[in-house]
Amino acid sequence: MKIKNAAIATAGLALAGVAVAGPALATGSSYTVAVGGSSAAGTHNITATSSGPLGFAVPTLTMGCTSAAVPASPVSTVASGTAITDIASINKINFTGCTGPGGALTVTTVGSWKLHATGAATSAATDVIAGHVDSITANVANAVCKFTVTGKANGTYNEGTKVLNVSETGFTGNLKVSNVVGCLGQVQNGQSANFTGSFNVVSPDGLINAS
Amino acid sequence: MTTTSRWRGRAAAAAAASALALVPVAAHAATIVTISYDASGTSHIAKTNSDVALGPTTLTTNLDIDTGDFTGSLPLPGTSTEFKAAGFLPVKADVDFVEAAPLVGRINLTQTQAQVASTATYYVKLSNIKIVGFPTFTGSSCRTKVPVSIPVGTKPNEGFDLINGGELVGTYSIGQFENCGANTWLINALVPGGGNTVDIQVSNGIVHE
Repeated sequence: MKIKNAAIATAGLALAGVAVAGPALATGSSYTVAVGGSSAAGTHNITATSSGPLGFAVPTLTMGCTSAAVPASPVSTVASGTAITDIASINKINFTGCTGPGGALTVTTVGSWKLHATGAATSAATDVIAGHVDSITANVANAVCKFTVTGKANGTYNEGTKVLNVSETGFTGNLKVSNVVGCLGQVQNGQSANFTGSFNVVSPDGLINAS
Repeated sequence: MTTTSRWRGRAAAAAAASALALVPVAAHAATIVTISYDASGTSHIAKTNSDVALGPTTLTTNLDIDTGDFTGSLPLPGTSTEFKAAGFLPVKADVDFVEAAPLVGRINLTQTQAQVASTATYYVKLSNIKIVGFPTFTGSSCRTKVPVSIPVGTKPNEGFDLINGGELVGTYSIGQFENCGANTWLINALVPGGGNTVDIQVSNGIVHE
């Protein structure tokens, strides 16, 4: 009986370990990606600007930014070619006008965010492809509150309108909060987070078409 | 090992365990952030139907960023007030708010707002009282018998910006005065009472690293 209980306890610990390990591993299907009609292997610079405000939240607080932009530097790119998983690498997003309860916040992106697709895509350049922005890390801070959000955010990319719509809602656990300092007790490590916003993607080399 | 040495060993182990048990678990040190603000406002004294200027001054808060609790100070410079006793006798007095205890309060984050609730505590001191322009002997120790607690906080459904500040309001009572010489009875007839209001604008928060 003791051995059995120990095994159960061990299994419980293992499950607990999984539970605190963070968001699921990055997932995304592979696609043939053409930019400007060419699927030759390569990378193509992109920029983006938000259309309208962006929202982010944890279950206890609602925050937002008036705008955001993927700047020309550092360079963010779309990959063209076959068997592409990391369709886009977004290496910086400048968030502006960010506020939460108590006033202004700074939001700083960390590392390279990856655009992965999971939905159906055809050779037509009008698909709205489901996917997610993966490898998200963002630091949120003001004088009394600091925390990090990591994980992925669901969304879609409209090939025709060139709009990346990020819609991670419902506190699914895809995005998680960590490294909380302060926050007057209202942000907790392990909380799920939401993130919503739309970006108009600018691709100087032409339309981005995944199939 | 002899019986004696075994007992010694057990005693030593027990002592060590006791010592361990007595070592307090390290408490989580509060993370305090000091923020100072410009502050100014007015207080309306209901019974005399007069206003008293508050500030301009500096509100200093020492905020525990883990809990939202804060202590601080709001020193108020001396000011003066004028009102009519019995509806027609002009009375003028210098007013000092002497801090009697640290300002205490809490910033509570709701889903969309930061709300402040705090209490400032002062002795209200009166001096240089003139009635119909004539000085009266009041002395230098004319003040409320007990400190006046002034609760101030954000209005319902109004937020407070930790840097830009906001409006803090409250209602308080003034108790009896003492040590006002021959004027004690007059002052206690004219000033103490409830329904006094305070309205303070707080702005320009500076975080002190």
